[in-house]
Amino acid sequence: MGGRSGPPPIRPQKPQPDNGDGDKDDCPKKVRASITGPTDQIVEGSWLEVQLDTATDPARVVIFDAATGNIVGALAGIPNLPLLMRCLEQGVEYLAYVEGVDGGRIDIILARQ
Amino acid sequence: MIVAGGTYGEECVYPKMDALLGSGGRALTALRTQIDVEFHTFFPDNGTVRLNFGGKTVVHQSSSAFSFQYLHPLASPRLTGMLTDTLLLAEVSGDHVLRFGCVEGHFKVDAEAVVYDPQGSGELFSANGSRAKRLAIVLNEGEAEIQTGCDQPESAALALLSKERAEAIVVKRGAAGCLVVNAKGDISHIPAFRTRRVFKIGSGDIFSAAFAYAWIECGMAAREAAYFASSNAALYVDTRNLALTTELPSLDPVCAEPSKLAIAVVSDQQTMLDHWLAWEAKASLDNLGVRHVQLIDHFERNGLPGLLTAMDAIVVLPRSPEGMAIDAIAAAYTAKIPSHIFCDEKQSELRDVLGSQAVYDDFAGCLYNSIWN
Repeated sequence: MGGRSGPPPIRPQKPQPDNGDGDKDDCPKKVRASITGPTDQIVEGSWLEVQLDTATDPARVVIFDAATGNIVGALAGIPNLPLLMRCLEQGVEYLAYVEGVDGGRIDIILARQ
Repeated sequence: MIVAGGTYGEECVYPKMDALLGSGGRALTALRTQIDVEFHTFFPDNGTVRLNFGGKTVVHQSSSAFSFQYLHPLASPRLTGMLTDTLLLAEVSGDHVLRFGCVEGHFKVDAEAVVYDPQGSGELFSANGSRAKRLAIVLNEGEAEIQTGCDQPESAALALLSKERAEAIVVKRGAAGCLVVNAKGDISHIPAFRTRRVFKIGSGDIFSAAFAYAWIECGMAAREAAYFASSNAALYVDTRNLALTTELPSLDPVCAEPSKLAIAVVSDQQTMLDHWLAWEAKASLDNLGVRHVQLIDHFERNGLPGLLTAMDAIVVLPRSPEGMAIDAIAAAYTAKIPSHIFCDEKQSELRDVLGSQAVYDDFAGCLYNSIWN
């Protein structure tokens, strides 16, 4: 489907954030999601930034392209979104690997750093 | 507009999907690309729905979350979740409502204009006391038959029109498009549109959302609204993009009548996987209403050209360049019938052998195109 380029490449692991409260162990290593957004400058196989946006009510998880500074979209329709947001709140970092770009839909895999 | 519908987990193994959408969540997401929408749904906790869908959401608490698991988009789903003896009832009132049938309960609606999609529930719109000044019902052939006892879509639509005092009935007919009956009883046929991929999960939700947007919000006649809905459903099944599109690209309408077709299915028949895939293709084509689906047996390899002359199309499921399935493509060419070949994108060696023929990397797309031929 759409010429996917295989599994995400291995990226160097960042040091894990302080794990004092134990809850961070529950944070998912990988979350699959699709977002609808501007696909012009989004390239399959690239990495996007993941941030918790608490300026909105309710808060949302936004995906943005560090190269252009543009917000690509916000996560929705994800079974474990509340858990993911809690993890981001606790300082666990994620990056989004672009698995596929197709007709306005961007398939991403959020990988825990 | 208000969307009243379910929020469910949805998993598909191939192509991969893992989402929290359901009819309500998907329609809401689609409609919000055009208009403001309030969302009513059933779910065990308020937070999950609110974080996912934001905006104005009203969560009617249920005791269990539900999830639908599919092996592929044409497979029957496995439902997980705890069903209770009593269905929940939630009341919704407003000007414009899109109401879906739900697993765990139902919405009693009081509104000016409503589009109702029963989602297999078999429940008539008015059965729970729901009222609408203007009502359109969007349902598939099986649901229309359950609700009216008529096995012909035209007569079922007409029966439902008077039974529910509706303004429009839309009966979705899968690969054959849909038919629309307006308040005067005029019947129109709307085509499906050809796409190479068919991601069937949720296509009905997009259809209903697009129809509701066009019929209620844009004031289109039912026939034009159904055309708009069929177009948006086609774009969705091809791309899985949830956004509704008002500027429609050029699409390829197809007039298909599955009930008149005979389609052969050929696999290599060497392993259980070959047999399993062939049976899965046959079951799917049967469910799509194809009149006759024939699995070609290994012993019939030498008589393939003769066998295929009675067929309208052939679905080929090869696994090896030397197998029977590849022979069948040549036999179909001789018999002058089209081949539709399913070949996974990872089967690179086989894809090289097949070259530029009608090769699909999408199983459902391959089967639909054998009907749309």
